[in-house]
Amino acid sequence: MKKNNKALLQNPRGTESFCMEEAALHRRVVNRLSDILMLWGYLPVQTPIFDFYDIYSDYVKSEDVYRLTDREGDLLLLRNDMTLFLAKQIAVLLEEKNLPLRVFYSDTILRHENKSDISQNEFFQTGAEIFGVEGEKGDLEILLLLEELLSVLPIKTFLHLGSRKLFNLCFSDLQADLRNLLSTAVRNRDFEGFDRILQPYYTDECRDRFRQLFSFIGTPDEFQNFAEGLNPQPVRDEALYIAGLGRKTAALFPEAAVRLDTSEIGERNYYTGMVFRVYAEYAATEIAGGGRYDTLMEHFGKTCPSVGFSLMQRKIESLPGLRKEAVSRQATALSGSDIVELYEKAKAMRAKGEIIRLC
Amino acid sequence: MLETNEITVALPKGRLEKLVQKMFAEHGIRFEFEDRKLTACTADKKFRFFLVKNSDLPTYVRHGIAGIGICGDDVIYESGTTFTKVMKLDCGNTRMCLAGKVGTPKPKPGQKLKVASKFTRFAADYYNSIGTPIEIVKLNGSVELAPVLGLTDYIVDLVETGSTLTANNLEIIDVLKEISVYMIVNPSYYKMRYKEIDELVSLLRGDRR
Repeated sequence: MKKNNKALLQNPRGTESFCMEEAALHRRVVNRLSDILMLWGYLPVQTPIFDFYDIYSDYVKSEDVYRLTDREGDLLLLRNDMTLFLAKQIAVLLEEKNLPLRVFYSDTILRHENKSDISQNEFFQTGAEIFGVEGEKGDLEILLLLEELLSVLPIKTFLHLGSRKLFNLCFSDLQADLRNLLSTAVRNRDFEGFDRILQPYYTDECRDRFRQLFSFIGTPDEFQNFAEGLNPQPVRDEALYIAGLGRKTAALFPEAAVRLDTSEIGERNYYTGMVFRVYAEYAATEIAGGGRYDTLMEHFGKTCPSVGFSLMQRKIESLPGLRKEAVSRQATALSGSDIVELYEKAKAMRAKGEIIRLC
Repeated sequence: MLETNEITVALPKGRLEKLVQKMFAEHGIRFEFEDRKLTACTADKKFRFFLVKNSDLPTYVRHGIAGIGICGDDVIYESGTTFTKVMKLDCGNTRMCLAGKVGTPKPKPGQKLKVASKFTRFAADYYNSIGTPIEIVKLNGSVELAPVLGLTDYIVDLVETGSTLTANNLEIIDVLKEISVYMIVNPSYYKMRYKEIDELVSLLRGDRR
């Protein structure tokens, strides 16, 4: 036995390997999703596996990522977020005349994870982004594309649609650190904590109204009714806007469970508008997420409205519906000694879709 | 996540088990764990209950094996995981305390502390937050022995009635946190089954009969 069994038998946290039937399933899913994305007019992109850390430092927590130093002494960041890395690459290439731009990716990310962290299985993501389409057209295209991709997978999903803008409209006056605490409380549906944070700044009645607003989960129609009673007008307008997105998505995908969920405000601080997560039956965490991030490109020197999503593909592949597909089709072995004859026979059988080994 | 349509609930073995079972029964949700069995179902197959070790409960809920769990703040905190807390229970409340031998002085602010505890994460975070350097000796049980045998002068532990402390000639020096018991839910499980879970909470709160 080798001396360093840990190095031999384990992979570092945040990475994984998979092979054979599991890898075959993975490729089939990548291909299935890529075919649809191409039919929607999206082109593939590859981003670097690492990049300079400094350009991303506003958007990453150093304890969650892997960093390394290159031979010139520059600090590098291993790709931990596809949207961030993609935004920089697109900003560098972007010319106004090329907008709108539709791209997709299927690639790995690397994050440090605690032993108990179940955000694991985010190693491989397939996603799509649109650059240069504002408002409802872009938002709806992304939601409908996501639902279409999900509809070809044998899993039952629940789309929870919310808005970072709604949160920002309500709490733009709060200091940044308080706003961060508050957004964590909302995302965790910790409304005791939410109330405690707001208590010094708002009346009981006002806090109660905020609590009602950010604890809502229901159908698009239920949220439409709720939103009509909201004030002030900018809050009502945004609420009605996302209600409309939910209703249109639900109308086109009647089999999909579309819910309006105002505790969905996006974990990443670059989101600016609608945000969403997708949950799936028998999955212990969300399997997809995304939203609108209209100001992120400014960080990389360009102005361009943007919206997109990521599917945590390895999580999806571990669900019961997909696992059934992992059972490999057995290859048939031909018998005989004349290799030329065997080759010709195998070729003909493969043309009919059979899996044939020469021996 | 467990592949079942039943609502899955993890209950902690020990002091909370019977209290919680009684609370469910009072609201019409009845189940019995047969001799040595660790799972039980209601007659209508709507709920399935698991009996798990208290400190393992967050793990079962985090992985969605149980969608719902009943456990104290102390266990949730030590797990380092965020759950959706849907209800604070009226039973099983306790206190996280600093204790020592009778007559042990309360540590001065900033004074370096050496404590024995099962609750290492809580103890470290609590004393770091008030600027007190702390050295923690991790123990898994019978923490009260540490000051008696001279391992450490202080312990950080849960105190319910205080009778174990008294029996070992120890006393509470400081109450660090009131500990409540919560019904916690795996966040994704809540999102998918929020109606059923909200109904369960309403039922247990007595909002409707």
